[in-house]
Amino acid sequence: MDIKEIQNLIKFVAKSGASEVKLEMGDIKITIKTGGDDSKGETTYIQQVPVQPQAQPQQSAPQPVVESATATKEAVTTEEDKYVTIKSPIIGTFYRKPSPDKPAFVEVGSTIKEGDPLCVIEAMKLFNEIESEVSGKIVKVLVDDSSPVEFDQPLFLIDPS
Amino acid sequence: MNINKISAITSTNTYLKELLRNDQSLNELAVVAEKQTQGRGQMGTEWHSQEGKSLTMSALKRLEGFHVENRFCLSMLVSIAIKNVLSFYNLPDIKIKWPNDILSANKKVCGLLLEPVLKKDQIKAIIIGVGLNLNETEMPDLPQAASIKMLTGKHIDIDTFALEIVYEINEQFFKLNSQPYSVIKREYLNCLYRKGVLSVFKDPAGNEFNGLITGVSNSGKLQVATELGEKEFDLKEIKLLNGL
Repeated sequence: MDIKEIQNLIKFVAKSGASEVKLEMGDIKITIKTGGDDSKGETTYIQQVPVQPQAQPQQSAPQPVVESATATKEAVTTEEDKYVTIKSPIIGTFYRKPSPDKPAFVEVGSTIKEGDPLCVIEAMKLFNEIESEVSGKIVKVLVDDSSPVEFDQPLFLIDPS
Repeated sequence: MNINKISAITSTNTYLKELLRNDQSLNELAVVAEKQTQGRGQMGTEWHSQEGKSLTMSALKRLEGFHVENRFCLSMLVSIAIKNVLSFYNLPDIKIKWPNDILSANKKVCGLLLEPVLKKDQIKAIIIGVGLNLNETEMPDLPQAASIKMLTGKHIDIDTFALEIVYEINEQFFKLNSQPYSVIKREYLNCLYRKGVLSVFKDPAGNEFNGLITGVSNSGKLQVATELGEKEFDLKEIKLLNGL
């Protein structure tokens, strides 16, 4: 399921008047809540949990906290507002690791600070290390290791905090 | 720029990168390793050095307001800097092999590992790794490589040489503020290996074809005049079969 589909889903749920919709499709679980009691506008919250077979404990542990935070006040309008998309500044080859024998810079669920390295994009023997523009948590890694990327292609979704 | 000397180190580029990560306001700095244990070449490859005979060093240069679209300029400037130092030592027939190997008399003398650090579309710093063959008397496992000693017969003082490299890199980086990029490119093209000479290339499918290197694009692609017209190639799209 891509972002566009999720956005359409949010619009659909908002129009439908339902207060909460939960959806599970394969490894994707989405919860959309609308119209909080005391918030003026409409509150939509999206949670996308890639439940991978080797799901790490740190991925699932913080979720209840996030849930309750939204339940109280955090009025988040759309997914686009909530998540920051890190895009590729150049055409090149995307690497998630500083070198093949090293662990990846970040994984889904990693907490990062502004300025932390996210990936390397190699082009013409220049190994460009891409730093994060924001602090937050990695929600999604959108490109596979060692694959070609285009200019402006989304690479990571980050939940800023 | 300060030059630090370190007796044993895994990789000077990695060392500088970690220093920078821990201190975002780190001043420009160069590091020279007496012994490098895990030298890095391109992604995954290794750079082997002989203790006391090879120069393995890295320099951190900071940039301001430098847009990533001009990134290949950095590659050209560092290549020119190395070429200038080698000229001073009277090496024969110095050429830059696209994108940034430095050759003398058709042998590889220097390899570069360039690691720009980006935030959004700005390059804020670059770590320049230099591996240079100085005083090796033989390089039996690397038939395509040679050292300055092998090419000139002269023994080179590593510290003096490192100082000259740092000086030249600084000189070249001043050009970013004082010269149009076209001038930098002209200087790079003037010593580009096999430019304007009929050469044989191989594409990823294994097909061989003739062509003349005519230049490089602003993003650093190699421009080649082929029988099918002028074409641009990425590093993975073309292999030069002549010479090295």
